[in-house]
Amino acid sequence: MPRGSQLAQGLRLRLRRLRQRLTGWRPHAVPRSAEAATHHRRIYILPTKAGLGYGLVLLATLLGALNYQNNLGLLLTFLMISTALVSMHHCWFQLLGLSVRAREGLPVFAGERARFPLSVRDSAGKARPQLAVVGAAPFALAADGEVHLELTRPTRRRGPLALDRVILETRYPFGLFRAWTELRPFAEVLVYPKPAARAPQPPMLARFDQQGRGDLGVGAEDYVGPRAYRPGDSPKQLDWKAYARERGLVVKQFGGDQSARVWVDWEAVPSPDVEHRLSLLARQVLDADALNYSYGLRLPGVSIEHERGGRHKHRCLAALARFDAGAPGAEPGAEPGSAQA
Amino acid sequence: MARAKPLLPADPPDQRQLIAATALFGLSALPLLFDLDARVSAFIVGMLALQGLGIRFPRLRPGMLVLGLLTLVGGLNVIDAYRGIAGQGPGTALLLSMVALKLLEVRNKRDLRVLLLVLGFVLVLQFLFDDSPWRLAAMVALLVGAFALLRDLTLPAHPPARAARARISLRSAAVMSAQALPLALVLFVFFPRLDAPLWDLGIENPHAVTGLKDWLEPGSIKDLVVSGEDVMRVRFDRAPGMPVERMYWRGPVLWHAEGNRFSPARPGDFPEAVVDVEPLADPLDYTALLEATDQHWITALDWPLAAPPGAELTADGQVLADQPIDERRMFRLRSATAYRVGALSLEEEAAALALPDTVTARMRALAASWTADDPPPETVVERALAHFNEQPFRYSLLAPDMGPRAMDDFLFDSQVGFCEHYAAAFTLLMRSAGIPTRIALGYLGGELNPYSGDYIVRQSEAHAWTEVWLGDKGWTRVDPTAAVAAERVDPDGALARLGAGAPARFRLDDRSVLGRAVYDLHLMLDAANVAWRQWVIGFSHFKQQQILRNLGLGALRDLGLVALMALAGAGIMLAWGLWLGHPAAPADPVRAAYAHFQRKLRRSDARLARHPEEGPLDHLARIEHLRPDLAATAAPVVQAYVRLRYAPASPTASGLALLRERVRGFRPGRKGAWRGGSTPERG
Repeated sequence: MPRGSQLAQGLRLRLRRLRQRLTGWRPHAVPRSAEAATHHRRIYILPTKAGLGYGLVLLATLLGALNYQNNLGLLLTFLMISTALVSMHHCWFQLLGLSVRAREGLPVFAGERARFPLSVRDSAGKARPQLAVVGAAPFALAADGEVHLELTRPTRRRGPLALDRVILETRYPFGLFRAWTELRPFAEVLVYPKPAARAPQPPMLARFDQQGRGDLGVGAEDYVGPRAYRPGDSPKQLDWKAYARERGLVVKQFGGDQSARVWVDWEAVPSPDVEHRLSLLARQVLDADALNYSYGLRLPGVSIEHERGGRHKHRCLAALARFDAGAPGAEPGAEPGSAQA
Repeated sequence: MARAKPLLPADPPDQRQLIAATALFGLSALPLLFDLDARVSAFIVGMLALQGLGIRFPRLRPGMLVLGLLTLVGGLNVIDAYRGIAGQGPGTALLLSMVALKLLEVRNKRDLRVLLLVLGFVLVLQFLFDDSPWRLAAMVALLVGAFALLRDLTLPAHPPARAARARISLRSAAVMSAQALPLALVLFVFFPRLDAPLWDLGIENPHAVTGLKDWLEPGSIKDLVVSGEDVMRVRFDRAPGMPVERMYWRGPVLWHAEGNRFSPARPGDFPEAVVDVEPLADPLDYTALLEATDQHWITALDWPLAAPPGAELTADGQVLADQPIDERRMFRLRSATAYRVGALSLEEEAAALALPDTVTARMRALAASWTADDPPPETVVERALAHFNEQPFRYSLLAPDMGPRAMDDFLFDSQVGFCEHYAAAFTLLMRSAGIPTRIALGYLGGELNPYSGDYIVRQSEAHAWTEVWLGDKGWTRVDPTAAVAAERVDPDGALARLGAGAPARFRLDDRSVLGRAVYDLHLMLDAANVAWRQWVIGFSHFKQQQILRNLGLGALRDLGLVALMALAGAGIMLAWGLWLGHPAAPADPVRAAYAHFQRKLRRSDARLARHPEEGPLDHLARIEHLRPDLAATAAPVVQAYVRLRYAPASPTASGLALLRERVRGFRPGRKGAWRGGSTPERG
């Protein structure tokens, strides 16, 4: 290899490193834990537009005062310059000694905004008059204080969405400088597939189900009897009158007939596109839940037994969200395996 | 880096912020209004009034169209008032007009921020008009106000109470400005100054005063004598050894007489003139701080021996600066108080004997009467002085206006005159008698300020005297005014009424105790004023080099200044950085005690420092693992802390005392004091 090109390559490498240093883009720089602390090597600061404008004003007054040997003008100019520099220090130190903890947010459907609960804590015993997380409202932090806020992120694809990065910034005290730092606390929000607008009716279960409840030969949605509340039951089903009579939380059970028992089944939804198929299934789950059917979910490699209620719905949607078409046992046409949650 | 969403939304400023910005601008423009054309000042006041109206009644705020028209009117107003926009006055007028309009145009916080930044210009501009300490103090106060408003603009939209807001903003602006002071002073002292302007935009010097002209006519000095303005201040390196009344401060030297006017030599008049001066005593070194005169000459004591840089010494004993002194400047000078000046070229002799056509037969006859017996020139001078002394000449400011033959009138009719009359008449008489004579203009005397040790020379000490050529003795100073007997000097009338000081000087002894106290106060203020001028206003390239020389870095010149500036500046910034980075002491006594414990651990071994995410108990476990020897003493401290901190009950005084006592008793020892077995690596 000719020397010149070697040299050029070396230079390019160096430039890239420099750029990475300057932009702070260092993919493995921060370990992924739920809490991330600011580090002095990763706090950056640049003048804002106002700061640059102020710089121009100061340059002009400096040159003018120098030229006309106006010492008082110089003195005031130097005072302005020094105040700006001192404010730069204060700006930078706003971000030192902070830590950000992120927590898992509630699942959302693809297309909705994922919400990550966040808390910013001072660990240096210093009050921070002005801080902000990019994407949320500015706030102040007392010494040793903690502030809770929420960061939202757009979602496009189903599956677990990790919080990408949290940019902490400040323009304290005069808005002439902006200091910022990037933190990567680890937190995930599960993104369900975006439900299709409408989906075909899932196949009704033809055979009698031993486990079924409430099939007493009466019509669909008939009241079957009370049962004790279990976590996850829909509040719609609560017997409020019983609760008012102080009999505790009681759920009114409605018995469906055989036709109210459905399988939300991968095989039954013919679509060449995996994602479209999943979105149809998600719609079916939602519809079945809305109609208070007892439904089960069958995916290649996954099977969830019949059940009702919010908790069940979330389990099914989570299975759809995490469905991996390339996983073993998930090849198209493979037999559904044994039930696995 | 993704483009950050703006942290500061472009929302409209609240009313208080608008009022504060208007007040800041109004106050900073106020002192300038008196220096500007009345029409421009009226326009700016009008705009401020409009702004006030707009704040009170937001509906009355002018729209874009009206603002455009007002901008046009404001610009034309300046151009019409000043016939242009170049120069200091019109430039300032235009800037102030436009900033006033910008104030009217403020729609959001961004506009307001721009306005506050431009306010920096307005603050600095002030010093072109006034360089008093009061003005500086006022401008610094306004600057702090501007920073406070900038701080206020970054506060979140949901504010604390108004009073608290104002206090927060003002406090942080004042704190930062105070913290900026050391760096500002370092920059001021070490930032290299220019020797001469790089460009000239026609900014006039505000301090040009009417002073001596470089010509003399009857009445030309009289106007100065009633002026109490300062000319120069002088500080001698050693005691001058002469009374202040004897100090002749030499300015222009006049040779040519035309009509009633004497004027100095023009360049090239005396090609063969040489400097030939022989000091007869130790010369005096001194520093002179000259007020702006817009003239070239540098007034120097008696006979200057050397010219400072940027000036030259002429054969007739003038120090002439290359550039007119258009601002207050400081010079180092050296003068001889006893000397012999002995060179007279043919051209000089001819000029010093030339007579104008205003010399009358009576004057010639008078001169001839002194030379009839062909005496030596000294005798002629003595006879002339005796004539002035014996005849009823009076010394008075209120000399009558005289016609074309003014000297004739003065000598034979009115016999009332001021120093210029005596000097001019004496010169013409001497020249008639064949003795080369010239006139020196300058100042006689001054005042010693006992507080500062400076001599102050004022315009009221303006004086004219003569120099006659006495052959072997060379040029000799003769002051014909002094020949007038003291009792003929008009003591009370004109001078006292006009408040003039010289030559009938104030005498301290005459004053009452109160008058004396006032006079002392005046002198003390003057000393402070001199210090201000010398160390702040007059701080220059020269002073900087002097400081460098004192530090032993004179050879480095500007490079040394830059290096010192960088060093001192970096040191100061580093100090602030360390101070800001140092964790503040927690206000909570429990935390403070725990922090003390942490410090002891850290000092003992860096690895023992608590990680930010580590809880106290996890930390203790790690300590026990790393330093088993400390387990017995560290555990009680952590337990006491955890009990105080996390127990549901509020900390009790006894619990706190226990924690403190245990922290005090905790001695982890230094790194070097470790016993071999105590480290897990070795154990």
